Amino acid sequence: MALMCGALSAAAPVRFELRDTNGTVHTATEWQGKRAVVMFFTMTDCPLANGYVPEMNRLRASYGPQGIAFYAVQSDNTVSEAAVKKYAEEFGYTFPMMNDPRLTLARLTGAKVTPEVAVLSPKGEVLYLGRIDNKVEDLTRPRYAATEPELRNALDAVLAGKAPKEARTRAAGCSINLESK
Amino acid sequence: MKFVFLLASTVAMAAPTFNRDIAPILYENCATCHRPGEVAPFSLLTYQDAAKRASLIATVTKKRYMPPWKPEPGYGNFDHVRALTDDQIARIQEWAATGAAEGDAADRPAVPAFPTGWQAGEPDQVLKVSEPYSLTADGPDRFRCFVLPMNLTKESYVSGAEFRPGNPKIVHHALIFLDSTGTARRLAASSGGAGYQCFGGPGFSGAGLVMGWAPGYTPLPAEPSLSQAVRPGTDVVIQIHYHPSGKPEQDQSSIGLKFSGPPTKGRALLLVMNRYLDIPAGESHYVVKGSVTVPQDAELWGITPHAHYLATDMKINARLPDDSVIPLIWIKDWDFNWQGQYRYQQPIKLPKGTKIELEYVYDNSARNPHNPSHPPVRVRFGEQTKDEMALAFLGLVLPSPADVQPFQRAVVLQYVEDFVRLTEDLNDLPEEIPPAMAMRLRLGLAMFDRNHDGKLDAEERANLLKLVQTMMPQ
Repeated sequence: MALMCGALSAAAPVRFELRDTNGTVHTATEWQGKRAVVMFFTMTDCPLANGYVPEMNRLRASYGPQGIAFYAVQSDNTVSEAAVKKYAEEFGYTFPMMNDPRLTLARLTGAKVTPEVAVLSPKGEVLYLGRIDNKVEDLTRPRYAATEPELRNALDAVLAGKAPKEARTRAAGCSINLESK
Repeated sequence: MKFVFLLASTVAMAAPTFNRDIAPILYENCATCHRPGEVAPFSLLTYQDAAKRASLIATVTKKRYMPPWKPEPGYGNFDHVRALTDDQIARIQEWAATGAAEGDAADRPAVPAFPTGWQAGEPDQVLKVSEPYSLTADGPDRFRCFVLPMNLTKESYVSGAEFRPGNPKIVHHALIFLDSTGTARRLAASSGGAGYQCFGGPGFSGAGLVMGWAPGYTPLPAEPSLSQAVRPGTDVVIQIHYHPSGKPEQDQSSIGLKFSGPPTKGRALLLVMNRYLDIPAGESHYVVKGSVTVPQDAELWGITPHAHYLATDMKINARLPDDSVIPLIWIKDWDFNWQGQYRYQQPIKLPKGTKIELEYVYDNSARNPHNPSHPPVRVRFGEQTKDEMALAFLGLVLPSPADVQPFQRAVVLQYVEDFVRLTEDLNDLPEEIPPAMAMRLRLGLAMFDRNHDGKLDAEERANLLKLVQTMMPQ
């Protein structure tokens, strides 16, 4: 465990090649010139993650034009690509939904559940990892409404050239099955 | 760490497998909702379904968040208990911790045959909300009341009701009422459609509550001996709590009704409540008590505790005339989102003079994640999201239908007595007091308000109380 965590914080060159639901292949080279990258870890049948899709679309609408790239990462490899495509259309994702059958990006960033978000520098450093806001700090006792927009806070910090005050928050949700091959 | 734990706790037992150990637990306790087409967000029928969520299942069962079952064991013997045993929970923990093995296919039990369609038999009349209701992709939960005219031409007797959500992904729970006053119809018309916004109650007296529905609820079979008389012009009102799913959705729910002849027993809904709560902002342990006396021998069949978001602990007891106490229900971690209607395995006999005692605790501090106000605000009784309630519906059965009217009259008199004792303002009559009676009461109150200031002082109140007490049945 300790070894894995150590490896994560170092900015290793990011290598991946993943296809989105429209057939476009994405790699880390397209992050050149971006100020940061947001990955939204999700799966088709996680109600908590699905509930955040409208908020993620709003975040993309306000932060996308400021040089932040947004991706959704389908992190359940038991669902067919066709089903993921249908799902992405139904929920109206306004940013690419990448299929990640080997869970490469979850392993790279350390994401463990959906919904969880990672904010990366264009070089691949994980600047923020955790929840979108604090509505569901405890799965069994969700807040009536969020009181801390943690992802927004992190993005505002990054855009201001600072490190996010809270670099890690605990996300609660549906586990990503990292033991699957 | 894992290995030490396993060796210490389960020396002789092999690691649990899905087929042998876990499938039977899931099939019996989870699959009613967690199967394709049902209310739960994902299915738990196959190994693949369950294995990919092993750690989630382990977490939510350990915290007893799932299956959703709130009553504390030992406080009321309820029917259709959906709680796992400590042993089952430990089994799931161990399964998840040891890699969620599938095991031998020969061990796997058959998937149970679940009934499709109406669960309590084909209804005599199906009422469907007249047009689809559209729910936005996100935002706060929505509470909507829909009016469904029964179009009765003569007095009829409803012996059973079953609710079916149109879109199980967004219907979180529902309450079914009967309204013979036309109030709900007017409310719907003034908001321009088949429904209107309603949070805590339907906007008219809650005494017409027929049933509640929440995911996993097992509908009652029709009960002709307890049928409910319904006059022409009566509407069914369904209050639905919607939870947005992340994409725009539509719902068109329905209700199935069974009819029969007139009842042979009496049914009465006894409301125990306290409407005088006033919770200071920041108060983390505010206790509310209320009571009502059962005016004649009755049997208690079921109980539905109700509060909004701030309640944490709810306890209801029956104190019998000999001062012995029967615990009726105790919910230690009330969750507005999982409110239920609970039925006793055996009806509980409540002799005349039994006092139903309610004690609820509220946490209005910022530390309560359910608190809808941030920062906390002073909270009083009311139907809105940010108001609170302290009440429980008790479903009682009386020996004969003729017992119902005197029973209800006696209960209303108790409400009046409480009102007179606790309220100063003559215009703030509680809605449990029927309109005709409220009008007479206002006239009576005005007579006792000798200095005509719209309020009753201590002496005026004492005089009125004496009169109310003479109206109480002996």
